[in-house]
This record gives sequence, structure tokens and C-alpha cells, in this order.
Amino acid sequence: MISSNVKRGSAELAILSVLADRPLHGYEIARRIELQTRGALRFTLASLYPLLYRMESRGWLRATWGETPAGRARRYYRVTAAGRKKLAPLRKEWRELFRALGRLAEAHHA
Amino acid sequence: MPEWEQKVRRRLKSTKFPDADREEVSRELADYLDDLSDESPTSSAGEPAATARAAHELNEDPHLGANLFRARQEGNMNDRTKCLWIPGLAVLLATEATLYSVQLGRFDYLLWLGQGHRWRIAINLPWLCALPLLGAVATYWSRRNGAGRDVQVVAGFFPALCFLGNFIGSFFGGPGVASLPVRLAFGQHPWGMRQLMVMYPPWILLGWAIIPLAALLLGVLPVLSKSNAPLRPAPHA
Repeated sequence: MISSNVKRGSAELAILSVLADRPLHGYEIARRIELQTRGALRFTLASLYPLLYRMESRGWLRATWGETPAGRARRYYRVTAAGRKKLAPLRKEWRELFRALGRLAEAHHA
Repeated sequence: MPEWEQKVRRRLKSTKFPDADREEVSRELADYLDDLSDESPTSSAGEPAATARAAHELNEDPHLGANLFRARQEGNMNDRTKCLWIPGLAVLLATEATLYSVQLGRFDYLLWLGQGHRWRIAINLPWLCALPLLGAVATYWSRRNGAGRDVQVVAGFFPALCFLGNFIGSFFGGPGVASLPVRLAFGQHPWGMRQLMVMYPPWILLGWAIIPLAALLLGVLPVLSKSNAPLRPAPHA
């Protein structure tokens, strides 16, 4: 069973990664992650917003109300300096984890 | 189009959000659900399916309100608080409580340092034996909360660092609040304590900082070595 820490860590990485380019609102974040992972990662309202609020509370994200090109008010999230600092070690950690799992899978296969 | 904002408000009714927070969260979740149900014209599933999906997302987690509330409250307790202050202070308290318990229970087998000198210092052996366990608890607690190795070490050594702070405070700053636990432990009058510290700093330093630090280290190291990487990277808060 994948621990909640691992799940949360991967979700945090996904959110920070899509927000690294530009600010997005909640729905855009969920769709962007779904598209970029070709449907492998999917957020719902119940999984996305508690995480966004937690990341905002920790100071990794900052949210402000803005307008969409269609003129609708939406709460946009952007990565803060603390969030950017977090992104690099998170990426490294996940790369290492996948490399280790890959080695394990190959060893098991052989 | 369903009135998502009202549905969200109904869903969050029993949560403890302050009014302004509830307002903002309701609005934001309703916006998300609006966008989700507006997906329909471009998708093959059609509007009813998108609306049903939005309704499902709103109702899928029975603890949605509580989870959102907890997540918003987390800001009140940042990473440093969880990883350093709480484990450190709890273990400091446990350290002091252990000392007083063994003294009250008369289990205070004393190890005398400085035999043969004019001044000696007594180390409470049962208390000293408890320190590795307390150091391990603080380190593990800190690690579980996602601390990096540096913060784990500081949390593990926290009691000894506080004793050292007391020593420095008493030595340079006089008998202020900072020296209170040491004064209480010695049962000394404030000025007598200062005199003792000024006259015999090495013994006090040894007994209240260096030896406890070494004992805590015995507990900190095994917990640190059990994990090469933290559960989550070190906090930057």
C-alpha cells in the first residue's frame, strides 16, 4: 500500500510543476495535470482543494482573485519563492524513488 | 445549471469555518464545479453527464468540509512548529518531569563528578539513562512530521540545548527567567546560583549540557541512521 506521505508528496510535486510556468485556478490545475500525465493522475474537488489549501498555508502557494479571459472571477494560485525552493528537492526525491523502483522491478524480472 | 454555490454552502454547513472563510471556500468550490459542468459542450458525454460528475465530486468525500477546514487551519502551525518546537518542547518537558519524578520517588542514584576536588557535581543516573530514549523520541517525532536531518538533530538535542542556554543565560545574564529550571533543579537562591556558576562553570557545563548532550546523542543517532532520507524534505518555514 502506498503511504499517504508518498501520495501527498507526488500530488504536491504535480501541483508545483504545473504552477511553475504560470498561475492557474483550481479547475485549470486539475485539467492541466490530467492532460500532462495523459490521465494517469486525476484530481477531484475532494482531493485537490484540501491539498491546495494546505500548500497555501505552508506558504508554497499564494492565491489571489483574478479574472479569466472570459471575465469570470476565479481564485488563481501561483508558486511562491518557498514553493520554488521546495520543487527542486521534491523532483530529485521522486526521480530517485522511481529509479530505485525501476531497479527493483528489473531485479525481480531477472 | 444547478446553483453550485448553494449546494456547496449546504455541504459545508456543519464545518467550523469563520464566516469569511466559508464564503471564500464556497465561492471557489462553486467556481470549480461550474467549470466542470461547463465542460459538457466540448465533451461527447453531454451536459447531464458533466453535471452528474460535478455533483459526484461534491459528494464523494463525506469528510470534505473537515478536510478543507483542517487544511486551512494548518497555516496556524507551520513546518518548523511541527518539526522542531513541538517535539523539542515536549521532550524538554518530559526530561524535566523525569528528573523530578526520580527525585520525588527517591530513585536518584547519583554519579558524582569531580571527586577529590573542592566542588563536585552530581548527575542523576536514572535520569541520565532516560535521556537516550527521550532523544530518540524527539528525533523520530520530528522525522515523522517531515523534518530534514538537521532539524531532527536539533529536536533530539533540544533539552541539552535549552540547558546550555540556561547556563549561558545564568552565567552572562545573571539570575533571570532563563536560569529558572537550573535554579529550581539545584534548589538554589538566585544569587547563590550565579555565584556557583561564575565560580565553577566547567562542572555546571559538564553536568547540565555536555553529559546530557552525549546521552541524547545515543538516542538520536540510531533514529537518524534508520533513514537516509527524510520522509519529506527539510522545512523552509
